[in-house]
Amino acid sequence: MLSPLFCRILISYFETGFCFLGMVIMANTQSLALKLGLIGGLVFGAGFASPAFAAPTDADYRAVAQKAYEGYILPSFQALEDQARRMEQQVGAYCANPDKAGHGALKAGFGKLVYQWGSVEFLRFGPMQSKNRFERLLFWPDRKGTALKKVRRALQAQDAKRLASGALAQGSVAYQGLNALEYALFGSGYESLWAKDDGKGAGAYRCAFAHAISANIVATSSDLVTAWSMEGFGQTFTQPGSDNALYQSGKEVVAELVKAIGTNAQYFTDVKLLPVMGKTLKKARPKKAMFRRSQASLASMLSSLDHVEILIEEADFASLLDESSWWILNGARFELSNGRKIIDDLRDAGLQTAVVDEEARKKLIYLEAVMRGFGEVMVSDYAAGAALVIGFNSLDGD
Amino acid sequence: MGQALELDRRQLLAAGGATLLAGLIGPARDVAAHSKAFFASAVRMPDKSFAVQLLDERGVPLALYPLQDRGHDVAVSPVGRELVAFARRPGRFMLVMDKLAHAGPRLIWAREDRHYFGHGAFSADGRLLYAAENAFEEDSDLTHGVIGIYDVANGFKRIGEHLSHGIGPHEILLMGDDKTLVVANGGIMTHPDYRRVKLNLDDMKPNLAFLDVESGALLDQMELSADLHQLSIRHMSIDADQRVWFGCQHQGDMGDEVPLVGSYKRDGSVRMSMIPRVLSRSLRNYVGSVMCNGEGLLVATSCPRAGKVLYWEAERGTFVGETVLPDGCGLAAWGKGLVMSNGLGEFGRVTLPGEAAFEVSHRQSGLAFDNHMIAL
Repeated sequence: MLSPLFCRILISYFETGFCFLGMVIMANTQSLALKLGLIGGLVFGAGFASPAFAAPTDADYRAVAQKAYEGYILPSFQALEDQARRMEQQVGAYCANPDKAGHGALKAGFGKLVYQWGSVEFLRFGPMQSKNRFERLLFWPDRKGTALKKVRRALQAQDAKRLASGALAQGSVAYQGLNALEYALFGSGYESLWAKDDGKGAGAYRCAFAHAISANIVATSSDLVTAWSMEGFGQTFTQPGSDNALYQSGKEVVAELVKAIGTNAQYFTDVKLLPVMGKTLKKARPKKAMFRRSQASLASMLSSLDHVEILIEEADFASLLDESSWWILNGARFELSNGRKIIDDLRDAGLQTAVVDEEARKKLIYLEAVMRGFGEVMVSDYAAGAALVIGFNSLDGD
Repeated sequence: MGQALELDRRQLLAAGGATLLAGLIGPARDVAAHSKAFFASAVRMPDKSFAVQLLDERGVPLALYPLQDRGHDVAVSPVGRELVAFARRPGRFMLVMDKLAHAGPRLIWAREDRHYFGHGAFSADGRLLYAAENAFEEDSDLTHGVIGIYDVANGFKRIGEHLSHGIGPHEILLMGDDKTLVVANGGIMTHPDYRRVKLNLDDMKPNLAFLDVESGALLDQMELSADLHQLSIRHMSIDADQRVWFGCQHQGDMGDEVPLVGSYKRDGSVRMSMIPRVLSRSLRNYVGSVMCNGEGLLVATSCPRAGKVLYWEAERGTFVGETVLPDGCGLAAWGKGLVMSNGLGEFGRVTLPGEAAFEVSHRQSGLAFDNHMIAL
């Protein structure tokens, strides 16, 4: 099901750590050319209205929606389910035979799950918007430390009923998802997972509880795959028209995708980056880093950049642009490659160290500018180039 | 000292003063002396910067006040000449302007641990300004809503605050008795550390709170039923019968057919208005501005995601018609009808009763009118 590009990125990430795509490395060596291209594009920005350019037809927009669905959205949710299943099996096997050495492998497995989550994290329309599915998978920012407290309390209470299949789904959304699992596996006291039984069964319960959370993540992601099927929202998404209550035309579906891409950039800066950085070094808050306990903060950030680009390629966003507007997507890719390069530079230090380092902070400030620039290019320039109607008031009202 | 200097510099940067628009001759005050400003609205300029514009009755701009960031609504003194534009959340500035442009604009900053939500209201005598604010702390993600109180004569000095009795207060209005403030507590928790990210969608509880404007005492509070707890109450208008009309933004499934418009009379019961099924989903969970016509007998709700303005008969609460208005949001009363603005820089009017067609009287190319427009 996975497209070649999709696989290439997964492979490049996991087999060579943070060594990025060939495409990205190429972009670095060609950055001057791309910059020139960008400037050229700005000069010819008025080219949108070029009379030779025939505006995309409804069929063109529909084709993009179809490709986005088949080539990106559905496979991404399926890949999340698969990865969640692997995690569940891994946690199950670990709990049967826990030791310190195996714990490191759990962390690697969790990092892969976090990375895969990033492929759907920004698709917050349709099924992700209902039944608190997003919050079930990730309760973040964890204001009040709700998820934390609930997991802690559950670990103390050792209620066997909570471990029953499907039991967690009936309770609070705060301890059903990735950050709850992260706490159970890597939060304070995680050594009890493999410690010799203290007679109270604390370690065994903690492991079983983590396993129950991982099973719940499988259930929620599987539910999302079903909800996105052609019997569900997939039909709404790929078959716009007058009888479709949500999308009257293909153009509206593509606009939804572009808005999601804008959301991705905003979420990146406003949730993953700025709260951790603080306004000044003194105000840096390393503990606000998402997935800090599993050291997957940067993997989560990288995933945002990688997947948004895969979506743009897989859905063939370029097909809606006239040749004179191709600079827009080149510019967007250029921003993403710059962003990846910064994340790569910070790989050794990690986000939590970087935010309290004067030099590294300069890179993070640049990273913020890069992501804002990327979001702006897509929501303004791409939307205009592809003749999408994303109104000022309808995009972002208050 | 350092802070005072810093503020001065920021003030200079943020408020360039009333900038004259191209084509107009003489300083802004001369212009204003000759042509009266009828409306005000926050705008995004063609160069993507933000400002507030004062407009004549046809929507031709008379004065322009640059803002350092996106604005939202403008409050108008009922007796004085002051106009106050509020920063959109989580902005921390408000800009005081003079209706006649006789005095230069002045920038007021929120308390360090408060930010604005974009709306405010004057007291009936124009002496006090109330602002919807978010009270936050640096080391906690928890926030609560307050209504900041500012002394107009004393340079808009902040002299106190009331609790808003909810989370995320948005629009606030003074009721017809001049003694009661009604607050739309949208229920959505946000913290400036996370900018505009919504932090409590799973357990939000919006309400409409009626406060004694002097003491801040809670006089009445309307909560929606539990199945509508994700319906964020945001904007309001008060009809001829002192019924508070409100427009909502649903935070749940786009496929839910939820009522987005309702009304409530104090100490009475809430009435949710039925949106015709054919329209329901096209609204995409979102109502922008709510505004009664001049008589207070008809209520308009702008729905930018549908590109429409829907009308409701105030007494019965029933849907009575619509106007097509692409990316439209700003609404102001104009006799029995309304004036409207949109993200395409169009300003025009809808005469009612009648065909309810939007007739553009002025268009500013490349400019976008922001969510709200106000009649001066």
